[in-house]
Amino acid sequence: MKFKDYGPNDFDGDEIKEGRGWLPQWWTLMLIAGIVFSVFFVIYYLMILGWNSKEQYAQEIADYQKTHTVVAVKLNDDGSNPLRADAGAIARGQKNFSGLCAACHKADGTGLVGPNLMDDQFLHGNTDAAMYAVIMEGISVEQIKQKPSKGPMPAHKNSFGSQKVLETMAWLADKNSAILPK
Amino acid sequence: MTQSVQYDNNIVRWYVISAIVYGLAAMTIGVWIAFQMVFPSWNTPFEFLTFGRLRPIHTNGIIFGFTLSIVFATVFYAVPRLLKTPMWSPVLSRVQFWLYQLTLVGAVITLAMGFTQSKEYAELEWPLDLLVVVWWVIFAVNFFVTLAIRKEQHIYVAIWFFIATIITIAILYIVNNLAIPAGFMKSYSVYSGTTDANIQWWYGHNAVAFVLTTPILGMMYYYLPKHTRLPIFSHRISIIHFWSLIFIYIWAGPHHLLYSPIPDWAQTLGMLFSIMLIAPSWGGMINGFLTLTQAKEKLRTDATLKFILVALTFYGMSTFEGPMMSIRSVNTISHNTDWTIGHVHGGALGWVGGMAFAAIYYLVPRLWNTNLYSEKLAEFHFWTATIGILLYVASMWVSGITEGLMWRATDATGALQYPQWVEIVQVLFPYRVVRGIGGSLFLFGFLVMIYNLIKTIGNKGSGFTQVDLREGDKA
Amino acid sequence: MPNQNDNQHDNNAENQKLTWYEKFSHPLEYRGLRFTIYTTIAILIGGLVEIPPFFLQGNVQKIASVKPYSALELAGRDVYQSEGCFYCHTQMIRPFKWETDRWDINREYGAEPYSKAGEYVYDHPFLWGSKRTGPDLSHEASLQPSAAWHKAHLINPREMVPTSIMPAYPWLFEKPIKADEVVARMNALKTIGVPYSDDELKNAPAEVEGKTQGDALVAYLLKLGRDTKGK
Repeated sequence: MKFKDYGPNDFDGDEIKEGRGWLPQWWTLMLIAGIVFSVFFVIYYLMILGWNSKEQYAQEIADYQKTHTVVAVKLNDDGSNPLRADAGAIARGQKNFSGLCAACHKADGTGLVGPNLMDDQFLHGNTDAAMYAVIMEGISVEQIKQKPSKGPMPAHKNSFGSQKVLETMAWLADKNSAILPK
Repeated sequence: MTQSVQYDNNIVRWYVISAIVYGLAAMTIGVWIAFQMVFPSWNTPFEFLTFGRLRPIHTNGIIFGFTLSIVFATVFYAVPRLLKTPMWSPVLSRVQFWLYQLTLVGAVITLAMGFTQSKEYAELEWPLDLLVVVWWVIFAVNFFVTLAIRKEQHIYVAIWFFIATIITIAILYIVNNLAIPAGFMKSYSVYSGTTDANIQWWYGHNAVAFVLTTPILGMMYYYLPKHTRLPIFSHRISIIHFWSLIFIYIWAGPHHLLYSPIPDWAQTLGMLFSIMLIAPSWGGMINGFLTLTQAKEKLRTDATLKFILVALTFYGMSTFEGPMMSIRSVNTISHNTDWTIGHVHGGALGWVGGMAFAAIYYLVPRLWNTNLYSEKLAEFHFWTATIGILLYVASMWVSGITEGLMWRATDATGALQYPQWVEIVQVLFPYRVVRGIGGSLFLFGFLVMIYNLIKTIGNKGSGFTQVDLREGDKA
Repeated sequence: MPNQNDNQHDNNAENQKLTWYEKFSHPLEYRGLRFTIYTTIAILIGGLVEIPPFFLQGNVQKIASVKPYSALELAGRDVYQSEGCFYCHTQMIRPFKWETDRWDINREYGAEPYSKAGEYVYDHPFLWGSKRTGPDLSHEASLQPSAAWHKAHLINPREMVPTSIMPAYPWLFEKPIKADEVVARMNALKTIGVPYSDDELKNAPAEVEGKTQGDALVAYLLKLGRDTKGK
């Protein structure tokens, strides 16, 4: 086969030469140290200590529960929200709302796929007690099949807990006077 | 020395041009998708211009278009010269080239249309996979027969790395791509869940090892001593770091799956072998550096040498950073963040890019028998590329560590401090802009290089003169 | 033999001697086939140790409630793959409190709410992803159960989340699912071990009838985490 060329192409006269320099000592040590460390790690960490990721998680949760206790807050006996008109709670409530609820109800509460919470139309009741029940327990897909409404809603008794739910309700009530204490 | 054998330079020219074309395309897409991450409107108006479709074109374009082209150029240039015999079959060389081009064009089209196996760096669907296997086997046959009929008995270290590349990629590619076809351009991996994950990252990690590392080391072992006409510092280092590198690299895949549902023992092996990998990786860097120091005066004036220096520096940095990120506790923060993206670009832009540019600046004047049009422009390319890489890597460090820490931040009550995902995304905005600017600078340097090369080739046949980079009188 | 003349160390007689690794390497450096075989052995060992154990019985703890993807969900998974959603969304929750707090916010996944091997047995290929530009989606059925939300969000993410950087996918809701394609794909999966019943295969065309790619994608998203929820 003939190849197209642009003239002489012998620029490769030099042979590549190789020296026989010694391995730098620190580098040899590093290589050996890596191997020694690995063997040590497997024996000590895995065989003697028996480390595993499952137990590490359990430990992390246990440590957390030791230092954090949940204070349960409840509705007043008459079913109204004890945090109504509490300025601190209202501020925290807004933060809660924008963090979780805004995905469906929009940051200002006027609704996206979730219903508008700033008008006077309520699908599941407009008293503190009714709202508390809906937010805490959510609305399941099955419930919607029985009684069609806007859409399902996750239960927030675990994600928020009663404290944050009541804070959020305090903010909603502060914004919308159609939400009644009882 | 007289020219007793006629080498096939055409094929090398084609591969150099192929590297430049795919490099330009893949880097342009890279810059585009970098800005998509700050300006989501850049995802429209066409569905093939969305991030999810463009990203695989960017990654495959760089790895299998740009890098592999310059690797093939080097193999077809250096191997015949090192073995003192032309490639066994110039016909097979050409068949391979055109099948390879067909694959790349097919890859761009099918990936844009959304045909993908959804395994990173193994996205191509089964018809293209079969094509890849065909030309890889053709390449292997051509290479190994050439090796068998060589005139120079001693096999030089660069060729060791090419041998490792050809064998390993063949095995990795076939095992990871086993899939059941479910129609034309659709298939499902035969493995599922954790098994699939394990095999994918055994492949994915070693695609980095045997496409982006070993052949690039082979390039370093060829171009560095040829360009400087200086001896490689140590054959002893070559022996130790070659064997330890290829043996250890294969084990490190599961470090991509730390704290995932794959068994803890596999994760631990992945982590430990990554740590053991620092020294073998650095062996190549040390051998390069110690060779380079013999020509350190010339570093000031020679852009090609500068690219090799920056490549070795980023190689050393990335091969230290990678093992650090493989340590479980560090990975807790770094995994899934922009830090990983920064890490891979330190290697790809710095090490692979630097070495590839050195190869291009070495090859083009020789292949077209002329001198480089402008050393100044090459110098300019070097500085824009280097600053671009630094901006890219630094912004991704900050961005990655920021998001890693924000994901896990808790307030006084122990609840997540940033429960809203998008809050964290917004904080990363400026770093991602800087990343885009870094990438743009790198791309700009690449364009300058293309201009320089076009001018150089325009002057073809005018005669090449080699600059002697040796210090003093070491003739 | 590598050139030894150009080396300052060579004046030293001690240095002339070959080290043990040079004695190993030098003969190999003249033998292409043997070199290649040794290289092949070196690169095979790691994979042979790390991969075969995954095929052993009992490597993956089965979860009884995890079911294969229905026809529509599978079609949605194919869309998820085509659009490269996994480049920005992971489907793997690591065992850290801060990850499970975020992605099991409703506390529906028990005492170990992180990802487990058994959840992925029908995932050909796995779609864990490697980058969390957007949030993890493993528990989407729990975190955002509203199909209407997902549809609106896919058509224009910024309508639901004003500062989102996710691409918009309005065209997905204009492209129909092809029933024969879905059946072929289910059959392919069946040959590699996904237990689709004859009824499921027979009813597949009816299930995807009149659905768009977007509908399928939403169905897939609502399948993520559904089988393990409350178990």
